[in-house]
Amino acid sequence: MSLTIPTHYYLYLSAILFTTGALGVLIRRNPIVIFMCVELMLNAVNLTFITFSTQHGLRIGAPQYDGQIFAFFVMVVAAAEVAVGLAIIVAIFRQRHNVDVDEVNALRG
Amino acid sequence: MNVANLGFFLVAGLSIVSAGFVIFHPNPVRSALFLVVNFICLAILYLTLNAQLLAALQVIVYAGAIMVLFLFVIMLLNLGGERAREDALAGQKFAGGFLALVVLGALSVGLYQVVSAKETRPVTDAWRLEQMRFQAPPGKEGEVQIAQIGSELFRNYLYPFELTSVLLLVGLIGAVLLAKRRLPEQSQPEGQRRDRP
Repeated sequence: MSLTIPTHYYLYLSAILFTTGALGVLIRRNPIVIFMCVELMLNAVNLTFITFSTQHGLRIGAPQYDGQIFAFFVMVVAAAEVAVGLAIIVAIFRQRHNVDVDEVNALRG
Repeated sequence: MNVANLGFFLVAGLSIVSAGFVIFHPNPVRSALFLVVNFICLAILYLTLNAQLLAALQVIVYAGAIMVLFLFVIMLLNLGGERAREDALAGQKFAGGFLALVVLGALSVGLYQVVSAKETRPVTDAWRLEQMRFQAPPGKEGEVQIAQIGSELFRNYLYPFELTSVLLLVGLIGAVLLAKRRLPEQSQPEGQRRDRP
């Protein structure tokens, strides 16, 4: 019994998850849910990075960690983005008591 | 169809279903909890890809820290469900669904071409995905892998690593500045917009 999973299964799953996140960004109006959907998309990209990293390592016969390090950087950027984005949402809520993205259409506070 | 494929389909299906609940559930708190389920499914998939460090980081950073931040803000602002609106952007859901289908179709066609182009394009020989099979992780490589990733990170990726620390510092300062209350002498009554000439 072999324990193998083809690579393109992971890539199709990543495409589906990325599309789900993009759909959520397009149809939702709550900015926090939109941020969650951006996280979904970033995670889909991370899955692709790690899949290709492992595949490359298997191909050349030695472990390769470049893709995993890229995924690590994506995680760092996502953390910074979430912190700043949620702070912006809190600031908007403090001024307007409403964070519906259709009604927050001016950058000026 | 072997056992590994069956497990993959179970975890992948769970991750897709939880992602669907994230974007369709009207309650943001439950969306966040389904997002935790999705993150844990992805951590399991990272384990099958022999990326134990990233799996641990996925659970600790994403399912731990980031989701706590999300839930904290949701409960701090006491955001309920979205109000049903008919006026603004009618047909937004339809157009969004159509565009998502277009994106998924483009990605799937591209992937299918790469996967199926084995003999026709020798340039894509490295992309012969059919032949690239994964073995299950041996399970003994965690420590060695972490050490290797660390040395790689501090040798080849030292400047990006230091830049991420600067990025995190800037994000920290920005978040504090954005979310802090204004000082009392320059504050206006709550909920009232300041009008400047």
